[in-house]
Amino acid sequence: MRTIKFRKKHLSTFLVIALVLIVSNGIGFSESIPSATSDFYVNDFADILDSETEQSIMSVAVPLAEKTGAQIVVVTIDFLEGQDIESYANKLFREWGIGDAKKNNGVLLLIAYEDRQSRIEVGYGLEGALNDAKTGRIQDDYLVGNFQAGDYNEGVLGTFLKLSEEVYKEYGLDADTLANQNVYYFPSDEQSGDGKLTLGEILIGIIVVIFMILDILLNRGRITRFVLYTAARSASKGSRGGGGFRGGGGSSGGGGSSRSW
Amino acid sequence: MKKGLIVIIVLVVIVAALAGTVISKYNQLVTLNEEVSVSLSQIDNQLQRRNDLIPNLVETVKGYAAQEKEIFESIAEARSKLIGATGVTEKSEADSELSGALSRLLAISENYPDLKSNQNFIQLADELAGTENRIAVARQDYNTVAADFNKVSKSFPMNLFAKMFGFEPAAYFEAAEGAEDVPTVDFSTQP
Repeated sequence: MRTIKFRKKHLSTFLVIALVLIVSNGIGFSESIPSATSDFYVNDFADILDSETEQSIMSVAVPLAEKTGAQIVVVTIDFLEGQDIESYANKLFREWGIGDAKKNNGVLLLIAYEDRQSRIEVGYGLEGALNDAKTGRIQDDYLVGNFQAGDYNEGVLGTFLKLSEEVYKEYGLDADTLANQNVYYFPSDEQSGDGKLTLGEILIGIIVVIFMILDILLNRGRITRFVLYTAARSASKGSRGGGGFRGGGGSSGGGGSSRSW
Repeated sequence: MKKGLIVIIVLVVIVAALAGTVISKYNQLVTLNEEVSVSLSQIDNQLQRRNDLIPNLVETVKGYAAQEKEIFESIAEARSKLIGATGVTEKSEADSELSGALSRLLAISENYPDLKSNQNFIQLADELAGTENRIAVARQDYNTVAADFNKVSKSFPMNLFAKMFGFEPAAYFEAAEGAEDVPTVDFSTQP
């Protein structure tokens, strides 16, 4: 009797470990990149923009994203913390998922205020509309001069508006039709939905079912109940925290250009 | 009777888990192997793109700084070396040599104010810097999937099977010291 009990205990430990191994999926986060604010399109961490500028940016960026899925994001930070602006921008771009996941039509304007550097990083999907030379030219025309004169609001807004104009053009829109047109963009379904199960997934499914049977037979279903309970809890947690805007899962291959002032 | 049933179920679980692991690891390796070649071709695309940019850039610089013969020669040499390179290791060496020569070219341009303010040169330098950065990103992405691939193929149980299935370890595309730095040109005109 005792030995059976002992074995049962071990078996349930084994079950817990196996389930944790199957369910868990490591998620890594790099520390140095800030997370996006709920405004998403304008994140003034360096505090150099006034609220009017931020509102102007939002009033263009939000409808643009609603109608085309293209996301133009402005981020100001104080320091790059030892990284070069190219890697910082690329990391932030990918972590925030700027632009649509399939179209990769995001643009990032990054200002490192204390380091006196700026960068426009362009997602794959907009590299045609905004090639490297053009992004350099835009910064020369709108950003560098204004920043040298200390006009940060004008510099950022001018650069942003020029960028959005180029993106409108790419989609055959202009500011007026954008405001009136009753067209809305719906993001492509993110699930890889061919609906087919792989052999590995079927096997894992079978194993999980056997675990559950064992659990119910030997352990009165304690582990199953626990797993279901945590799953339900994390699901309800995940559905909270809505509101605000966020990235569409876009990526960038490092296109764009950098300037210093 | 109940005991016997439990033993059978446990055995089935163990066998199914083992078979499942090998099959899913094999599939994972196939996917990763595919990703490794895709990322490598991404690097190749960008290397080609830079290769196409160089003649224009060199011509433009020559128009203002024809006397800097040494740098033009080292660029031409590194460029042909990269074109002839095969295999990841050889390519990554030739790549960092060419990157070094190109960043010296951009550094030299600092001494020629007329060149620095030439619109055509600014455009080409931006395209070059952008392409160098794309190479850096593609290289990083490649190394990440190569590391994933190697990790899976070298750990149990695939270390027993990887050779049998014909999986060779992926070589890393390494940048030489200092070659990661994307060349930057300071176009700002100081007031």
